[in-house]
Amino acid sequence: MRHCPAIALSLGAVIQAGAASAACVPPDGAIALRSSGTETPVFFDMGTPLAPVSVPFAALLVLCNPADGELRDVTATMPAHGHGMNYRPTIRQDGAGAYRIDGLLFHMPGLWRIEAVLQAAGETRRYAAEVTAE
Amino acid sequence: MSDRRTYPIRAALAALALIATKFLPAPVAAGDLPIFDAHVHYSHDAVQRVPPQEAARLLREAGVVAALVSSSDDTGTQRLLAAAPDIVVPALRPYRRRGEIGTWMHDPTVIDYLEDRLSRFSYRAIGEFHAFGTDINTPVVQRMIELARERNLLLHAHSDAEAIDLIFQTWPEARVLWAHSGFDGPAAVRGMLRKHDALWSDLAYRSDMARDGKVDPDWRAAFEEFPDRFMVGTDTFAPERWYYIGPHAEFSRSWLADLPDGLAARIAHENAAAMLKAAQ
Amino acid sequence: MTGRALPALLMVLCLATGAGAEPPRLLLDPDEIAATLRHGPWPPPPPQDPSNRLSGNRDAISLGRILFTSPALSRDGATSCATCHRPDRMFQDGRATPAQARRLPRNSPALVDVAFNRWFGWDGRSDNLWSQSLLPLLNEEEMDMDFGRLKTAAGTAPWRPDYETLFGPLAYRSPEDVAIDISKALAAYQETLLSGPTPFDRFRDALAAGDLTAAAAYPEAAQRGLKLFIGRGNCALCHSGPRFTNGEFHDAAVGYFLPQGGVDPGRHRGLTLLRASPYTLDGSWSDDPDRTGAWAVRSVLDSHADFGRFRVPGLRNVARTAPYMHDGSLSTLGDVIAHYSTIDPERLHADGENILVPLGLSPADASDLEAFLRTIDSE
Repeated sequence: MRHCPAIALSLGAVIQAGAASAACVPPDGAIALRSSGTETPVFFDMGTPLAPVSVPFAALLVLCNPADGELRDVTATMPAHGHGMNYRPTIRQDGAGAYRIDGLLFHMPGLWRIEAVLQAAGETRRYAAEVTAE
Repeated sequence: MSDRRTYPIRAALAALALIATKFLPAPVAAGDLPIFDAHVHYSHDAVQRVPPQEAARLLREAGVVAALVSSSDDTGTQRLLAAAPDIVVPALRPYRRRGEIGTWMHDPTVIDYLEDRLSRFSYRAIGEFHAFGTDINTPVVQRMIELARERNLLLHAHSDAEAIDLIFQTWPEARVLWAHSGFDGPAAVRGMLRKHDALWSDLAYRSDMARDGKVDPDWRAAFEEFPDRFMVGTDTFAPERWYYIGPHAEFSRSWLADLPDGLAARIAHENAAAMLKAAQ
Repeated sequence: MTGRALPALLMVLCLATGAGAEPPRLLLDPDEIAATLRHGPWPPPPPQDPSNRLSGNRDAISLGRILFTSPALSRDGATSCATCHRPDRMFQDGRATPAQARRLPRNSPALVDVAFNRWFGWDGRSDNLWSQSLLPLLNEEEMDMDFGRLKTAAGTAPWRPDYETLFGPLAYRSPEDVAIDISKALAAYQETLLSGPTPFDRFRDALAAGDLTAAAAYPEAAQRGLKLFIGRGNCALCHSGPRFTNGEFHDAAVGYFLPQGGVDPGRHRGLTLLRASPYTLDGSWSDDPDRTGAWAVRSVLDSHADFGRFRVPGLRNVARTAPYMHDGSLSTLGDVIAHYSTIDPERLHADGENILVPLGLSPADASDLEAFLRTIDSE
């Protein structure tokens, strides 16, 4: 699987940001996923502003506030086409409130909606944002 | 390679599977969970390619004990009803061809068609029809709802939440089966089921309820809150999909096995039967 | 250089070529140039398969070439891989479905560039080239062998010395070892079946280099066809990237009833067979301790849409690989274009991918699209 070197470089910065939620600023290129239930975003860092097409890639997902919950799932769909990914990405915790997502694959160019599902105290919260695959 | 030598049977079985060329559904074992398939179409092209007796055989082989069938045009439903009267629950679709999905609500001849069929045949539902948002307010859809009200028929609606709300505004005593549960997430579906006591949800053409045979926690919560409102369906939208009825029944059984037996039986067949009884 | 970086004045570039001659023009706008660049560069680095220790091995390639045309690998002693994958026909057979096997319902795919696949076969029942190469050897409708017969055949074949040079004495290899050895040698050979650059690639490379004079020499009809391909036609949604395929599975509204009754379930069946196979990239027959690429078989998802879906073929050399579609039901490129121009949306689920709509191409549009496709040809 192809890995994104930029992700490794930015991980430290994001985790540092996560540790100090008051000053939670994403690294360059990270996308803020938001939930209607909270002001605090979750950052999704592909290491590049555009996702590749039909090539598996990895991303980091970092909670500004680790107390917001545990990451349960990451999905992506193409709203214009009504389909999702053909593969289930794997999630590995990589520090407090930080996760590495492997096996993301966007099989078509265009707009994809990333959704992260967090679980906290019996409550499910969905964070979402759109990214472009090109 | 020593580990390879320990699996000759597995390898042989795999090789057999690999060279298989016949694509028939597996026969249903005695004791398999019966299925009420709440989303079946038998349209003009399906009638040509999968004759009624063959369609009936596919339903029986899959362990489908009842099926809510609607077709474009209705001839297919009537022919299948004649071939399998013990299985087919007839619904009247407001389409003469599937291609009318996006235009029917603006076509007054649809009403002529519905009135003609309703005067000649007996139905348990009107649908599955496609209507979104304020489509419900068009004269054609309003008249169709009126026809359903006159006969106390179930409405099988492929709709968004707004359209479902408008159906209940039009006819507060309506009984509505929400096709595909609106392709909404479990939280939104729960919200709609809380809002409307006479709303049921079919899970056709969606597989997000479970992964690898394990029911998704959010969907599980929805099934537990509304154990009597969900049901399964294949959606035979193209003629070839008739051969998916068997695999789909197996798919349904596989994820329902992760639920308590009683709840699984309700979703598999009991809820659909109870819904239709409520509409009598 | 990206298309977006090109100055707007290049949107329509006129270059004089001489008195009285119509000047060649570049018809693409910056976004179209950017989209065009994503279909290259070509060729990519040669493929390497870490799951096959023979990948790139010169002796294995040589043996694989011999095996590919060897009828000794068939029960009837008359059939070889090359029967359906003819080297003189881009390694396909030009037929809708194979002639000698009456119950094979699928078109023989061309094997040029096959090594770049993520999934193999029309239904993706294999995730690597060597396990896919094993299937025709065992299929009763094709070469109809079993492990034991393959070892027996190797014992008397003229290529036995070459085999033993690579794998050691035949006597020490189990029948299953021999079958996999043969498959891996066949795969090593097929990895060398690579297409070369095409007129389209020269156009694309000229755009990438900013050589607009060279780019403008690309025929206007092909440029117009390319604009349709990446634009209104939506072709590039599935036929993406340098190989003109996303490597995945889609419903192209082609029927999948079988002549003998029943249907071809396509990817639905492919996934069942894939998961039953001990020969995947995640299995012990892989030579790669890192299990590179095994993520796909581990994580691929089921979908109701899989039933009747087939793999999107790459389009390089497409003009020479007729007939088309999974069942060979469309005879010419013109038929394929007409299919997408008049596609029957009734066959597609209302909440499916929502991509395919009748394109309603004019005869001139269809001609342009075909002109473009004919430039992805390395002949």
